[in-house]
Amino acid sequence: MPRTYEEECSYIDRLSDVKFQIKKGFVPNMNVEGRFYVNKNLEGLMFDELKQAVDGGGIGGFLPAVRQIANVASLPGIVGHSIGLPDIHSGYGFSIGNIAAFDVADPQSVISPGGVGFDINCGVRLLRTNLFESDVAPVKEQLVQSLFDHIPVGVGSRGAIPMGARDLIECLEMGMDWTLREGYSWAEDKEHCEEYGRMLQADASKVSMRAKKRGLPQLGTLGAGNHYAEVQVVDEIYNDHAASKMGIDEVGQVVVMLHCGSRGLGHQVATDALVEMERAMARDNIFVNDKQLACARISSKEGQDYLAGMAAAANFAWVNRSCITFCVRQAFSRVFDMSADDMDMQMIYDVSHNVAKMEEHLINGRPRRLCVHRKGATRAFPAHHPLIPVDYQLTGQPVLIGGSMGTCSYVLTGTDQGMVETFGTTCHGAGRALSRAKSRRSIPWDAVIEDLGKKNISIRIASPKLIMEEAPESYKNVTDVVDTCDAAGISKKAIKLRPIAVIKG
Amino acid sequence: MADTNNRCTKEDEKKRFEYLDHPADVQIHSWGPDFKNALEAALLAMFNYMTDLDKIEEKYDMFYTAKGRDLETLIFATLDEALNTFQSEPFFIAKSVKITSFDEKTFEVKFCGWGDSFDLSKHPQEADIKAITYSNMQVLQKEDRCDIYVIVDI
Repeated sequence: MPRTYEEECSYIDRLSDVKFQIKKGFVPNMNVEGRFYVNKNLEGLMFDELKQAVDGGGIGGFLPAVRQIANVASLPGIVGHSIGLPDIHSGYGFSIGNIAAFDVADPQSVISPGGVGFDINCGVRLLRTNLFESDVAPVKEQLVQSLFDHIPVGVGSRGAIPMGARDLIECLEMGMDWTLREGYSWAEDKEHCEEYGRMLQADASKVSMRAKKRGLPQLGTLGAGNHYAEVQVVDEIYNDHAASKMGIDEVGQVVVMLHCGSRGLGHQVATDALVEMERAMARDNIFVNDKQLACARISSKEGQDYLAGMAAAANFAWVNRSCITFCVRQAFSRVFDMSADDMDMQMIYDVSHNVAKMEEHLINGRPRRLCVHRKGATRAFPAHHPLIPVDYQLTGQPVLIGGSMGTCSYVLTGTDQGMVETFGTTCHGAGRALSRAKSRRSIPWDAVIEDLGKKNISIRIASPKLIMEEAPESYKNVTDVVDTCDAAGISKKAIKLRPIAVIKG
Repeated sequence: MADTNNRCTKEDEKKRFEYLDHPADVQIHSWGPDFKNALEAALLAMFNYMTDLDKIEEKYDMFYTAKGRDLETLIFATLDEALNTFQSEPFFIAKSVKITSFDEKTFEVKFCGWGDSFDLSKHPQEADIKAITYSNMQVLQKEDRCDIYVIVDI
């Protein structure tokens, strides 16, 4: 007998203005409780989704995010809580915007490719310049065209960086050390990148031939969907000290934001791992509530192979973002007839929002080594954490939050509270609210273009249909998302950015 | 999960596939008189989501085999094979496909596609499909009709 909506809601309690608890029993076998963070505006979306699923009687459709959080809470070896962030929406196995940590010392603990997502190490990178909006305004159209010409975008596009099979293997194992050696990155770039742009456990031999074949032509391409390159200006500074550490001193300063991932290579690594793990689950008698939560014991061969392959894909993503960074610097130099160095085009930071990492956290006051899955969630370590760069030791790690097309983006900083509550993690972006198909039907193409025109945003897009799918109306309001994290104390706002030019697949 | 404003059109009826709502991704719904036909339509639906099939010429053919343990894993393997020849050399996109053999006992199919290599100067870019998923995958078989539902990651 399925539960009614009211019965379902009896398992969900409000803990504070922005924090909710999902009690054990909401789904079978929960090892820990669930938590999720939403403010008033986002709360409605979250509960509507659950209501729709209950009304639909479970036929067709998809699992609502709350139930996915609870299903993740039932995985073996999970510690703390299964946590949903404000930008959460239903995904494959894990919701997008779900964090789960597993105790590495516990032999039952698992790792799940569904907890990382298909686009391994999809992430955001922010470059600053010493230009101001008034410098860019007269040449904005040339600049956006130049960026569009320099960066390969959209489905079927191929990278401009010459690559052979041996180069690819080096990329996979060396990450940004490769782009540094080949002259695509600056030495300072590595310093301002999560993991310094290289995961050491990467093993290229754990990446299938098929994945490598997909990766080779796609290196240095932006991709499609929600990936983009944006020229933005600083709209508001909330924290002067943190902003100045990032090289942002004044409103109106121009920055460039990149959002992309590991392309076909990462997607194939995830696909291959899912197939392998299904087999391992049957062998090791791992039972899960939802068969999409394919996973393997961390210590098993499949688990270790996935960790090595995922790390290689993560390195590939950093190489990819670095190659695009190179293209961006070239495009700017061309348009302004100045070297990128003279324009101070330094990297502020580079964050990953689809990755699993081995980290030390305090559980009941004791340090534990955990395998932290962040899917659609960004690491946000506080000040003085040993894993963040020297420049940000006093401010906390910069967290880059990309908005939806035509809306603002944010730079946040990590907090001690986040370290305690969410394994040093915060939101990653706006998060979808409308389905792609619905966006195509309900949002008129010219209205989106007109709206961007009104806001004085130039756009270049490879696929015209995408413009409706990616319209701001299809997404949650990024300001609500960021404000919820700020109110919950898991990250603090530092800078608000507003786009002036967008390049998309 | 097709809602009332999402009924398929006459054109969909001819092509035997449609795209249904999903928050972040797209659900392909394809159908046909039997499993083979529905799977052929699902393959075309996948290619059609990435470019406009009307713009593709049938220049050469491509042969594939795929194997699963049951119908779901077979659908996954079939679509994954086809996605891979699009996402890497020779960037093949099929305008038409034919399943030449389907072994119901070993869950093995052989199929052939007719199409062209994707070329940015000739073919429009639409959405990029990242991966095939098992998410809510359904195969509904009746005597005279088979429906396949599969969600692809965008």
